[in-house]
Amino acid sequence: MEAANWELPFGIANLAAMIGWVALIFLPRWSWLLVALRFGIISLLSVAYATLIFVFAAGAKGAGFSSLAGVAALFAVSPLLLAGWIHYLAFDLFVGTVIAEKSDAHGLSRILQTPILLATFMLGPLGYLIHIASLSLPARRAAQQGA
Amino acid sequence: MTTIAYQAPARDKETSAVTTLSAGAAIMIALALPTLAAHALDARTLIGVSVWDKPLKFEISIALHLATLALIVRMMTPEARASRLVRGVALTNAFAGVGEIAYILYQAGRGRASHFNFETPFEIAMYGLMGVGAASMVIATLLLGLSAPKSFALETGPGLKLGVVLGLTLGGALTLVVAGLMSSGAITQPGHWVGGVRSDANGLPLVGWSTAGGDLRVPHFFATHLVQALPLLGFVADRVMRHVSVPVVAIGAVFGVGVVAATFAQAMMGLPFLALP
Repeated sequence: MEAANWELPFGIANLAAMIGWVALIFLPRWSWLLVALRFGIISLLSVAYATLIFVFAAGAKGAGFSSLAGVAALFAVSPLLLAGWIHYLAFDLFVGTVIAEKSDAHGLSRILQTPILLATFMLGPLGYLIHIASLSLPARRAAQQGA
Repeated sequence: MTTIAYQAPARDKETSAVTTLSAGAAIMIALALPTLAAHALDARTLIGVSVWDKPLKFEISIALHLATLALIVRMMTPEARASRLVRGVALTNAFAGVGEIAYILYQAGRGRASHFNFETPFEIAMYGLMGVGAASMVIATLLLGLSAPKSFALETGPGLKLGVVLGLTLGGALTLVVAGLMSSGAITQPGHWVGGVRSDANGLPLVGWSTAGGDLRVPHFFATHLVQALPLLGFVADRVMRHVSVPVVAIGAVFGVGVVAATFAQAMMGLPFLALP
């Protein structure tokens, strides 16, 4: 199938992820919010990803994970490129829920959580890096105080 | 409190088997969702039906099996639930079930057969490994049935107790016989069809059993799902006719074995379970 056929599912997946991020960044942390994101949007994205992989992964010629050319061949197939994109969306949002949970447990202000979550949304691993950094120093001090 | 160190919480032995089995059942249901979507999206076929027919059937069947075992283990005493045997049975069933479905999905994605596939060394080896996995599940189920009489909590009804014991032991033993004969190739060539058209295209709805010739999947199905049928019969009998629930389950067991034997004989004679016009 041509690339054009996959624009609609791509748009739907992007919209779903965007709704999840807006909820995670701006809504109050109601007790059910993270659970709803994990069982709702992230699970739906995961079902979409798995479906695309089930149907199209075996058909990619010359594709593989052991060379950059193999990965490029994988992403040359539109539905697999879409699957790769949905993989980002799903995992980044899941990591976002974990970061939110950890940051809340750590007592980190929602104001400061916002740039961390935004970075995770836009630049995945960079968000992770500043998140793990945000936890480390205060945690060490708390541990030294015997808390 | 520290965010750096992580200490895995100790597992509770009394709940571990139920957790294992319910997790396995939930994994099957989770996998059924993209399988169902793939079924709708993918036009590829194998033996005349969608390549996703088979994984879907196995996911449903294994989910049912693991959920049944989880319910049964829940009825056992805390000591029995914590025992090495019950935890081992749970882990064997869940792990082998997930392993089976993983390979069935992989092969479906490639549009290739998982069972009775002798085309490449890899597929021969994997078919053998699936046999080991399936046999482990069945034997573990049988062992759970044998151990059940001394494991039940006091409040379990008599019909349900008998249904569990007979369902697991007879279901396990008969599955071992039917599936063993089916995969050994002793009957016809290795395969589940006896005569008829070797395709599921005109098979019965949902199950796909041949309507033109014998199909050993029929007795396999009835044997394997005695594991659900007899405990369920016992549970219902305890509710609606408690004073006779034990004979009701006993008669049900005889009937169930009869159905397996009859459908086995029918398939061996090359006759379809139901011949559709």
